[in-house]
Amino acid sequence: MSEDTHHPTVDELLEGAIVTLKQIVFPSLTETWPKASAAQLTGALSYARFLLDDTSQNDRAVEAKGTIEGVVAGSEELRAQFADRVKEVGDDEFAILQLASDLLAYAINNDTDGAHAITRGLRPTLRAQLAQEAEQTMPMLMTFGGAPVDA
Amino acid sequence: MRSVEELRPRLARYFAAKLGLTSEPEIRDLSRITVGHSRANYRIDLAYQENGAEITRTFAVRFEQGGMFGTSSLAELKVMRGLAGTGTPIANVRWWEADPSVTGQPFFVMDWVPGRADVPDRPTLRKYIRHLEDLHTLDWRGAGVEFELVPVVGRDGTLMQIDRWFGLYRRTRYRPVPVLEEIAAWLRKNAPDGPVGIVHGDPGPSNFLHANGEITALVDWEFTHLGNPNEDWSFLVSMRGVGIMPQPEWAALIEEITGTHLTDAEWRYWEVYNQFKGACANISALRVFVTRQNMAPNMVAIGTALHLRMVQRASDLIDGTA
Repeated sequence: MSEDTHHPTVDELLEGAIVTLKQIVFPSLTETWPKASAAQLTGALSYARFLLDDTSQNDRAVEAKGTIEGVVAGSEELRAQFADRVKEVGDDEFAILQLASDLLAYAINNDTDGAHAITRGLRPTLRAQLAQEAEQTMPMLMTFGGAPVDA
Repeated sequence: MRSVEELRPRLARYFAAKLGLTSEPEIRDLSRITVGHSRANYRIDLAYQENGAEITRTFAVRFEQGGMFGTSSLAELKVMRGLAGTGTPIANVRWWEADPSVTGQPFFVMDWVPGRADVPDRPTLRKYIRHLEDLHTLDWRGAGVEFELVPVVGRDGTLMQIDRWFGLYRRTRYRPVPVLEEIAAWLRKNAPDGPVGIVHGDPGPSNFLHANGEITALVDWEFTHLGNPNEDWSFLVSMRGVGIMPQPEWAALIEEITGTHLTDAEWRYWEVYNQFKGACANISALRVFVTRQNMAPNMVAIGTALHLRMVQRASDLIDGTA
């Protein structure tokens, strides 16, 4: 309960919904599809609780941009190819991720020092970010088969 | 997404018209079939009077879900109708309804095929593999099966499909996924040559029905296309067949029945391809959810968690860390 507003927090409401679904709704359902949906809903609501305070998406874009700047600056080949785009992307998350995508594709299609620099310098960061994002969605994966999440 | 109770009167009117009845049939059961997320599949049991006698009939109704996976009912039923009479066990398609005002989404109606969708015993599984091989080697031109994309050689077919799935990802994404785009580049660079045949696209347990040791129907034809049939063997082994037996056993069984042999590199390539295909298709579920065309929780799970796991798996395979 928020002391200053005297109403429940969003997190408390979500937690209450999960507990109710798990302890009351889920056990009472008999048909397979509604039962699976109730279980999946507990996973989606758990993810919603995480998203309430999440800034990781923006953090990942900032980290990716910093890594791209370092990798491109360190390679004459990459500066010639990508320096203008690095300037253009600014703080635009979509543009940053598209540039990161194009750099990874460049590394696949070329066998050069610049390509190797991308593989060594940028790729691990992006793969680690992917792993982090996947981990954050784990409650939905765990409930997809029809078993409710542990509230 | 309409509820069963909302669908019931609409379907009663629809079937009355299609069956030429003077009054609406009684819907004795209308229930969602739990298999399948791309389409909403329902079983409908009808009863009506004809020439003074009571007639009961059962159909399967397959609804689109707002562009989920970027596939269309029309392309799917064209393939199904083309395959009718070729020896492929397949449900008979009765009617296609494109008008969304009828139930909210395009759908088609099939005769109900009896059978179970679970994992059968080994002799029945062998029959399924035989049917899949027959599909791959079918003279599709002679049978009159229609496809939108017709490759000349196997590599073209693979590249066409990579472009198809990459295009779906690009159309439906909310932001770029760098590792997925790297996988697309890797698949294009390493696309193998090979035969061209009908590829089911989503084969394996849950997507065929069996009864009394016989395969009664191959189902879920929305991903079917012309391409390299190794795509199907990989999908069967590494996606739907996981947990039934280890990959070496699957490989040996397929080779024994069909003579098809894949190298380790081919198994790896086609699993990367199938994970990529799944990742691209799954991201469309997030758009279906966010645009409120279907706000069921499985949509958001498929569009996020399952999508991300497939990108991860494909990337690990390329890395050699899987």
